[in-house]
Amino acid sequence: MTGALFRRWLKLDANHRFLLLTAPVVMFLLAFFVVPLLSILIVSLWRTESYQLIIDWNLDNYAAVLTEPSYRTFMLRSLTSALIVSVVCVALAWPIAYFVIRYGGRYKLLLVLGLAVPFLTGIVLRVIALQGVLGPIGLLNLGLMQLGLQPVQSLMFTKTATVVGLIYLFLPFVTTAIYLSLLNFDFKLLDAAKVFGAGNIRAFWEVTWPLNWVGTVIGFALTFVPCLAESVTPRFLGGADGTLYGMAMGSQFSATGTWALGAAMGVVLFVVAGLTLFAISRLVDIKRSGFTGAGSRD
Amino acid sequence: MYLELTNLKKTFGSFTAVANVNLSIDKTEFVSLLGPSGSGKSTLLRLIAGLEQPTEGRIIVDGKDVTRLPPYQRGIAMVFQDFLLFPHMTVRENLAFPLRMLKMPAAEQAERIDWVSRILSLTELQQRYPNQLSGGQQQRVALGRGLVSRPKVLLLDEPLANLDRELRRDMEIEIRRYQIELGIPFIYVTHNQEEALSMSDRIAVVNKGGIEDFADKSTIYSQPKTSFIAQFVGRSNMFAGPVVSIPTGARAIAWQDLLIPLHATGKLADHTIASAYIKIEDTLIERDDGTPAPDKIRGRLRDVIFRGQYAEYLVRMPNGAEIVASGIDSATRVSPGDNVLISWDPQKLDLFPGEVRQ
Repeated sequence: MTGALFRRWLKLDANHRFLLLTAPVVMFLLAFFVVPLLSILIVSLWRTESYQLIIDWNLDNYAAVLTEPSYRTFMLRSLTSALIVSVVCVALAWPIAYFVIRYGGRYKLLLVLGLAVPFLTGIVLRVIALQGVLGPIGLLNLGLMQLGLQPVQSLMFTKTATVVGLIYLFLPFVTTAIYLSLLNFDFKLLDAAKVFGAGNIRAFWEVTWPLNWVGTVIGFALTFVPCLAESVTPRFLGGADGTLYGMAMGSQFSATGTWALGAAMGVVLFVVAGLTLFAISRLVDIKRSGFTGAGSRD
Repeated sequence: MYLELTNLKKTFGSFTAVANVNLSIDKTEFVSLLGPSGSGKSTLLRLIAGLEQPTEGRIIVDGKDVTRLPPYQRGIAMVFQDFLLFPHMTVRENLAFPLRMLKMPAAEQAERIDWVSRILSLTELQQRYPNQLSGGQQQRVALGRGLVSRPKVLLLDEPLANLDRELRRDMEIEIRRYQIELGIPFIYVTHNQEEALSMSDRIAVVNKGGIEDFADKSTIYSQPKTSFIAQFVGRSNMFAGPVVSIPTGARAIAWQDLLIPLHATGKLADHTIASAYIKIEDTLIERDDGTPAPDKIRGRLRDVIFRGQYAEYLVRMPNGAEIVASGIDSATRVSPGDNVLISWDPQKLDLFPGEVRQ
């Protein structure tokens, strides 16, 4: 039986073999990526009326998303907070990952895995826990008062609270990306840099930073893109004027029942995220990334 | 002297990597630090480069005490064993790196890069990245990066260890040539005695963090100062055992059940332990035609290892021990299984008191 199958396999030409071998991944992409995306695209061109989808091809939803000031505000707010969150995450993750790699010794792996421990409790609990920290009589204010300082009045239910929450949620991803990059970095290169005239800081910017740039960019993108669509964190922490784009999009599918408009918002988000990824990828010159095999030996 | 190390010491916790090293090196010298792995020779090099701080002692380069200076203020360059080229920079950018750090004007930088590219034949490779180069090409770039800033001293840490044999021999000659042209000291760390012997003016034999001897390479080879050097440099037969008087009035070492006559016993008293070494090329072999030869050792030729220009003869003694002799194959005319006689000039025997050190 298997012999017969094998004989038939041998008779296939290269093109047919390629089709057969890539079939699983193609099926997966079709079922979970192309079909949902197409259906979103189609729905976005229909309209909804009193919780009913009506097939009526039009571009009104896009006109609404692109022209209505509130959606534009939400999008800008989302872009800004995603940018702040990603930059702060990278800035925090670098020293964390760097010191763990250099001085973590045999506890390296344990320390990095420790960053993932909060994940075990789920995102809602983690965000609600932050309410306990940032709230009017939360841990932060209690601590400040203990030190005889003025409590911060307006921290909870602000955009700042959302940003703090998002940083808290995404820091482990960025740290892991940079950690893995540093793990493959040959620190002996710093010896070479120093012997050839660079001080510690110069050696970092000349050698360590560019050779871990790809890892840094990946960490940045891993934060930036999901932050754009984030809806749970702003809902719990953001307050009345803290609505983000992802949150507004979510409510089209629940509270207001305007699925077609929500679908259009989803398509716009997809395009914005795609453009962002494209822009980010332009920041990487793979030849200068230090990856071996980037160029061919001839 | 141009480069002076005074009582240099480096400890890592309770481990002493470098112990009280004193070395004076002249401006035009090629010096090798020769020693087995773990002997501390690389640590010594890193101390000179400033990549490690000495626990005690001083380092003086060209009249200036650099002991407490960071590496980038010492004007010393280094060629690393695994090259350590910057993978994100082209060959040209790698060569420009030391010059950029010196804030050299661009025109002068270009001049230097052209010069070093010319002498190392790197001109064609300037736009390539290190991962597009062969091992030998990477080696030349690493050497170029070391020479381009015209350092006060060039340190080389086993730079040829990753190259194949053919390439290594060519590079040995080249490296020596650059040292003479530039007129700066090269300090070359290696565990390969052939490299050390072919390139150096002087050799410092390093063992257990200390210098066993620092001398002219021919002295190191033919007049080993310690039993460690006798074992480590060149290839020798070793005879170790108690010193005894023999009927002729001279002394000998009782080795296995043979007596190895000694030429000059010095202060060695009877019954003390001593070891004697004879280089394999000074060990002579001839066919045993049955005539009495009281001062020669009888054995049977077990095998001949052909090495090209010469051959090695593995001779088994009646007691089971083995002696190696080497010679030009065509001149010897013995074949495995033959009974042979082994002899040497007793004056060429190097004698050391005490237990055998490994």
